[in-house]
Amino acid sequence: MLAAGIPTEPIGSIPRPISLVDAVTARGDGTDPNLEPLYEAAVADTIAQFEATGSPVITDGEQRKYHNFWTYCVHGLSNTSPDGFKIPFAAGHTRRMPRLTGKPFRYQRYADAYLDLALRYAHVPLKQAVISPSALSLLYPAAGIPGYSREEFLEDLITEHVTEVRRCLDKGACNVQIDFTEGRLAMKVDRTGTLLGSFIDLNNLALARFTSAERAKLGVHTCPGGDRDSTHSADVDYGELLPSLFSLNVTNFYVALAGEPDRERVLRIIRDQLRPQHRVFVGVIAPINPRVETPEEVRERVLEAARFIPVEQLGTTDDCGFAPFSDDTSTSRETAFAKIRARVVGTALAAAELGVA
Amino acid sequence: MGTDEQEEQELRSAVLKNAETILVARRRAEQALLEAHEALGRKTEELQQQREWFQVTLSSIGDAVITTDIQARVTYLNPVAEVLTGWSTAEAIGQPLEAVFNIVNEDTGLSVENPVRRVLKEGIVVGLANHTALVRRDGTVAAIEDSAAPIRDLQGTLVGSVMVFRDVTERRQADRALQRSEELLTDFFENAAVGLHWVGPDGIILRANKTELHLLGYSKEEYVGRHIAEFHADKPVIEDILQKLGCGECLLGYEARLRCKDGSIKYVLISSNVLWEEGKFIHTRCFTRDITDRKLAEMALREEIAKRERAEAALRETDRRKDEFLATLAHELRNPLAPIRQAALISEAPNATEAQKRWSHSVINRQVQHMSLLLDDLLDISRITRGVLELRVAATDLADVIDAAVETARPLIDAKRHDLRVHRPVDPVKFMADPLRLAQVLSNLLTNAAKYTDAGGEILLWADATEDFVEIRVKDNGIGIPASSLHNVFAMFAQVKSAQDRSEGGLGIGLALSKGLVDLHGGTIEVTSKGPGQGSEFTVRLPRRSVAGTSSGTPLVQSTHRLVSRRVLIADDNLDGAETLGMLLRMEGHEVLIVHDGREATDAFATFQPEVALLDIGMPALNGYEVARLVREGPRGRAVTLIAITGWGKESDKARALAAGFDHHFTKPVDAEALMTVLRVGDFK
Repeated sequence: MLAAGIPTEPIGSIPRPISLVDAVTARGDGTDPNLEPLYEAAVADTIAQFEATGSPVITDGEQRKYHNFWTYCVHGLSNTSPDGFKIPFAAGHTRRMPRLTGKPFRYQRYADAYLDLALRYAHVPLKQAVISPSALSLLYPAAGIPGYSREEFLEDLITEHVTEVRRCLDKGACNVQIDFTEGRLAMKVDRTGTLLGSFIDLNNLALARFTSAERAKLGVHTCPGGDRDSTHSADVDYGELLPSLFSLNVTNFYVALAGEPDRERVLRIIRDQLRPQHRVFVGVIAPINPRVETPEEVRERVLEAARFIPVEQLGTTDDCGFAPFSDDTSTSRETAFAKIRARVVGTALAAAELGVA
Repeated sequence: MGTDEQEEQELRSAVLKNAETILVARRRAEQALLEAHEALGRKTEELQQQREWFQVTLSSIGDAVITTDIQARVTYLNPVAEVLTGWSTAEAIGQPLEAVFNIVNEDTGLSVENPVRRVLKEGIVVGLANHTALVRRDGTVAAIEDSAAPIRDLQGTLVGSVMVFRDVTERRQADRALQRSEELLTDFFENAAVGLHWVGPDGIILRANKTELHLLGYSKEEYVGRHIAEFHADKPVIEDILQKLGCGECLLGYEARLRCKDGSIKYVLISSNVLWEEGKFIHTRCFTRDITDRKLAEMALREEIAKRERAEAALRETDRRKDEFLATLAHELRNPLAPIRQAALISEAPNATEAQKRWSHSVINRQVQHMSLLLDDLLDISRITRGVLELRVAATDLADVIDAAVETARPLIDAKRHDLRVHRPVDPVKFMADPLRLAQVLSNLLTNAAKYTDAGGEILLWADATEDFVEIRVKDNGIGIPASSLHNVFAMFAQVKSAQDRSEGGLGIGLALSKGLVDLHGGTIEVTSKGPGQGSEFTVRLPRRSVAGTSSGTPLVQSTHRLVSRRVLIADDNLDGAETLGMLLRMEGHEVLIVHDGREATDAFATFQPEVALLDIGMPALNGYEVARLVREGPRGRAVTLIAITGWGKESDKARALAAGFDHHFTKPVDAEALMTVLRVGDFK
């Protein structure tokens, strides 16, 4: 543990080993039980490498999340079809969501299942990332589902989300991170902000079901959505998202910042929206940039953020996961862990300089 | 799916519909939140009111209250707690409980475990141990009592504790004072100098003190719980006591007898009344005072008084008989004096003839002999009474004794023309006895028979003997003896009244003398009579001792006193006094020489060689002191016992007499008995 004074955490995903990706491709279904040994090996190696970086908080690298950080919980649901809404990325590719075809909406799997394996190998605290209910709200088709109103769906959705988060906390996750990358996308889809507002409302409806003690362990991650070194909403101004973002009823905010062109502007917005109970983990590593940052660069980015955010409310993170989609091999595992190590060391350097080490 | 535009349109439509739905849900949630908030507000207000009511209540109660959180940090003190601990609420909140509520053992001063710790650990209600004291902030100490209880939330989760305590210093002091008072009262009850007990309405003993148990000898278990009547010797007494008490009477000094464990009886005085409560008999308050010693003393005193009264009566009777005897003695002595005087006058008459002179002389001799016999009897009875008479036992022939007695009594028998028949054993009866004294007894009986039988009566003397006894009976048909006087016949001075009227007179000591003589022989004498006018029968029974086994002259009976005979010199110029004293001493058996001045006394010491000299002090020629000095300086020195007989009786006179050489000093008139005792038991050389 190097950055004792300023907390530092990963977002979650780490590129899978090529062998695993190939095996999954060969099987055609990442949930095939025959892949378990490979998954376990991947998780074990990921945790070992994570701990080797000196990270005070680690993840399992989402090695077993199939297919991606968004739909893992509903992959294989019998009442879904693969022709849901499409998410375009700047690189030109799209990712298509499944579509709910019938009632009731239930998770196929909860993320605490991933903790079972990870906890066997981890020696430091583990955090778990889960998808937000607002992201999964896009499963419900525009035309509706006969006999299953949107209202019923949303109620089931909130219930499933709360269940998942609570299971992760009960299983021993030191905190739970809710992936809310669709927030910036919502502004892109609806410039009026109504959609974003509804996403915030939906997430807060879910968060209202947690106690304040539970919410202290909850955080929200926002980024322009990284996939194959590309994003889906980087062109949306943070200024349109962040004021609404900080109205989410959580303690921790993981905000992508390293890839922002005007970090200081974003930091000012964050400063203006920050409430006393918040801690903001600013992104000091850009996963989509193949160059490995130096710890000194990280230090400077931390120091820069510390000019706007009180150090006792400051943390560091990566802008995004290194492979939110399981088949993303654009970044190597070595590069990912090198960047993570740079974050950890650089944060410690900044903490020392700030006198909080 | 359609084109990208269509998909984008559908996406937008879907999300906007979602947005609407979410908005509705949010508004509903907000409305619910508002309602919840309002309900919370009302609840808060209600809670605030309850809190205020609670605060007021806690502030108003007399006990101190402290609450803590789950970590045992103080969260609240009520005003009483502030005063008792010395901490204000503001200062105490957040403090560890032990800092604010510091408790120690009242007796040792050592810290004790705070009960809140156990409450928070075990979630139970806990009370303080006894004798706990609170050490206030200023160091002063107060005895307290308290208890602590857990505080739980609606889910039952332990969230803190509440402790209620109170200063019991004054109460402790009052308790100690009460305990001391009870100890003193119990001590008073148990150890009072008199017995104390309670009896219930049913008569069962409820409580008894140590004094009463010790008095009667019972243990507490043997006494308490039993019915009081079991310990009373007199059932009617205890029934009366219980009945009176039950009627509300107060008993003072009621006498009773109690039975002790060892069976003895205690006399007690019982004072008692009843404790009544609302008309109900609760128990008696009984005081039992032992008066056994006093009672026994009273009984002994009454017995002593009765005995003295009997003795006085006997003495009065003896006195009366003595007075009668003295009167009779005077009479019997005067009787012969008259003819003696007359005969003397006749004999001295110038014209008395020789025959008249001879007759006068015979009258004088006869009367003198009569007086001599009276005096002999008096001397004999005196010797018997004083135990100095000695029998001269010898081999005696019964026939000789009978003949001697008959001969003595014959003149009177013949004078009254009685028919005397004598029956004696055919064979000679020889036995050990004093023949003269035995003849005296029989002659006395015959004389009485003759005297107390009308002329021409019948007198029978019947004598018989066995191997062991000699029996002699004298029977007459004379005046008889009333049954009421039979027991008194042999007493001194006892003369039957009817006999006193007889012209024969007599001192009435003959039968007493006869009994004394028969007793000395170891025998018995009895009298029977069928009553007045029916004669009497006297029976003498003597043990028949072997003639061969007893030496002649050996006394059969030793007198109870050792016979002492002294050579006594009397020197007194009072002739009558010297003569009468000399006569008394001679009657005692002493050899006496009488002189009448001091010179004759000194001469007599050489010639008479007395063992004892009774010297008057005031004598002619030489006084008693001079004679005593000369005797002491003489050859016999202290060998003679010198006794001063003088009318000078002061202590200085006695001291002077002793200094002159006298051994004893008697003041005139001399106490004859005391003088005789000195002569009898004195240490003579």
